[in-house]
Amino acid sequence: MNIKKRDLFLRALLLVLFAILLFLFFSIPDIEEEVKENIKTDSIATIAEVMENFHAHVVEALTSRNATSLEALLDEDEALRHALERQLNLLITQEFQYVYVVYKDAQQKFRFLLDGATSQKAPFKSKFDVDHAAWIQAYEAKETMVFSASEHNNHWITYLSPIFYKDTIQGMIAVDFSLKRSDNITNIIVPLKKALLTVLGFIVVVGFVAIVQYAVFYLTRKKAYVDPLTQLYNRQYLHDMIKDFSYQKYIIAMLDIDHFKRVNDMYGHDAGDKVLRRVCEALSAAIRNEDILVRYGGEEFLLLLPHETLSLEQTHAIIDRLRVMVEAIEIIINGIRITPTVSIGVNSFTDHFKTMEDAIVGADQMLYKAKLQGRNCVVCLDPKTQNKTSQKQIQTLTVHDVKNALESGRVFCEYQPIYDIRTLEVYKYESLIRIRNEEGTVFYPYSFLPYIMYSTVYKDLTKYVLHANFAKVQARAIPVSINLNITDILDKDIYERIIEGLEMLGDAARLITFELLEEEKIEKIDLLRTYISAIHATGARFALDDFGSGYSNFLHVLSLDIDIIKIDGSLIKDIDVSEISRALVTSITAFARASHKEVVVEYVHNQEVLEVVKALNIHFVQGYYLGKPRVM
Amino acid sequence: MLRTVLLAWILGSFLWGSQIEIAAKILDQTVQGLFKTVPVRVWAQNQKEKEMMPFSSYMQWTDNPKEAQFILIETSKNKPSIEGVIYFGMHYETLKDPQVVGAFYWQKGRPNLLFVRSRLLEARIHLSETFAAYIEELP
Repeated sequence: MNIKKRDLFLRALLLVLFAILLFLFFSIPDIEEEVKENIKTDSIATIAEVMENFHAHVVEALTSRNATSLEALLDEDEALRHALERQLNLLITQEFQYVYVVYKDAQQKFRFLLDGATSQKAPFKSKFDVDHAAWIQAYEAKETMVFSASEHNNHWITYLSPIFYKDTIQGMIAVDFSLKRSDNITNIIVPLKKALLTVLGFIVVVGFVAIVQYAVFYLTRKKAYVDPLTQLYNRQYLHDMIKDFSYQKYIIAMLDIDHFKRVNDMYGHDAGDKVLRRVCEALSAAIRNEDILVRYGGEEFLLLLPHETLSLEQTHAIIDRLRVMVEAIEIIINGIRITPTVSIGVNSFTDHFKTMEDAIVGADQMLYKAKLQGRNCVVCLDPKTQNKTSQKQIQTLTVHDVKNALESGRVFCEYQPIYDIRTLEVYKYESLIRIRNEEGTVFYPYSFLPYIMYSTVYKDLTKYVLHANFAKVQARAIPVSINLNITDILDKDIYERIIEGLEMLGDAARLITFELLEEEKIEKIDLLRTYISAIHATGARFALDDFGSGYSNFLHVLSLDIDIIKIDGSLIKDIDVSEISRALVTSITAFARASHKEVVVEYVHNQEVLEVVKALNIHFVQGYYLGKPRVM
Repeated sequence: MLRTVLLAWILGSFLWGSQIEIAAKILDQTVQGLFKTVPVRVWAQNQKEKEMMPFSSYMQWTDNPKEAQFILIETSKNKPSIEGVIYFGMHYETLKDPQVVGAFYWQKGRPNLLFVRSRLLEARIHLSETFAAYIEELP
């Protein structure tokens, strides 16, 4: 499942926000340092300016009195000392805490000459223990110096500026000042840093929770979407993916492991699982990253191949290689070699189908054909022969159309009479299903049954037909033939519906005939025989439809306790002109009489055909010449 | 000169401790210089000086000034008069008291130490060369 774009955008936004905040957080100390440095520079500039003036005053005093040294001058003139101290005092603020002048005596000890302080004033010429080598350096180098009490503490700063007179150093002006103004910056920045840290912490926690949630979600989703046995996507994944999946860009192949049930039955489920795993491993390894392989059912798989980069032939070749690859697999179970094969149905025209479900049905129909063709083969929806069919499919009904028709009551039955030509009375009616679309167009079974055959809608439609006809017989007491596939009877649910309906009809059950269509080889013949016997017991009868074409099996007529043989229309339609048709119908009729079965013929479309049928002594006939299907 | 710088560095190195801790360390050096044996029993006019004791290695607090060997004074007023004891000032002004041999005080935010040469001689106290820079006569 793709992460929605909005979620992705929000995550990216959160990440960018986090990066910006992180950058800001780590930039703050630099900004703080820069601002403090500016404040410091500004303070030093102020001090330097003031002290330059003071220096000029001192030099002026020394010059005017022609003093030998500042120490001597101040020693002699206390008034001057006080006057200069008052000047120094003017500079004292909360920021410039100590302003004073020191000199170095003959013993190299620093002593106070002037102190701008009004309280705790240092006595004149009292000793001053300096705490930094910079004092001595400044005095010896005769240079202005600015230094912090420690490299690690630039909060208190000392400004030293030598006083020169007659090229000798007379003393040194000292100003101890603090950068208390920078405390204001810190006071502003600290809460800001805390706020940033809180937001960053919040984002980290949210991010962590999101990661944990995503991990849990991913694991849960994986469990929900991945089949634990084969590690392939499961049907739930397909179901959720369909919602916004561009299936038209894919070729859909339906794969089925041939005779898988036999493996399970003969070697056990563990062996079956092993076969499934090996086949899936081989298929997974062979497909590309962009291909999607889904375990669709027990041993059925759906393979979706993007066809944008591949031609139809290439795709079919790839799919056939998959088949060959599976064919080459050998699995040894208890010393017995198993070589699985797969039948594959391919729908290369997914864009002709209205929904993905319909497109899957299309692939499934091809798989069905592949099985009919003897399995271990690939059957593709052939573009050449399918052109007409495809066109037809576009105009015909999809699974959704049929479902909608069922829900909105647009499914109905027409009834075509079957006459007894001896009495010219209606022997019974054949029920024929019809669907009217929303525009009022009536659709016939060939335009929707093949496309819904493997969906649940087909079953719903069968149930509807049974219900409608049972109700009709109950209401009108008319004999009705209902068309069913043999596989319908084998469906336990349908079978139970039939029994339930016939029991409801009671004696009227004898008015019901089920016309069975044999479309493929019957695999569960014993079960079918049991079900037919049970239905027979209610009084209902069975006809074998379309006899003489497709899978019609003489043996089944005998073994399944069939009452009526209904000869396929293809043998009747030109019986008046075709010797072969006449010969075949004669043979079938002879067989029916010999086995005590009734014979019904269909497709009687003109008088000539009717005359031939009469001549063959067939009593029950059906066709447009005698009566068209109509709503009753 | 070199010694002055060295001691200045020693003093400066203390700047990172609290003022109490710095005072304790400097007074520890002082008692080591003033007394032949350590630890020394200390009493102070200002009871707050007791807070230095946890930081001191050579001073032991006593509540009885009579038992003290080393008395720290804030002011000469009400100073206990005990024979044989060494008085040491905790302000520059206390040096006016002739019984005070020296003082430790804070000047312009810096620790300062001063011994009065004549009073050391009178008390027959000989300080090592390390203290030479801190010994002088009052102006």
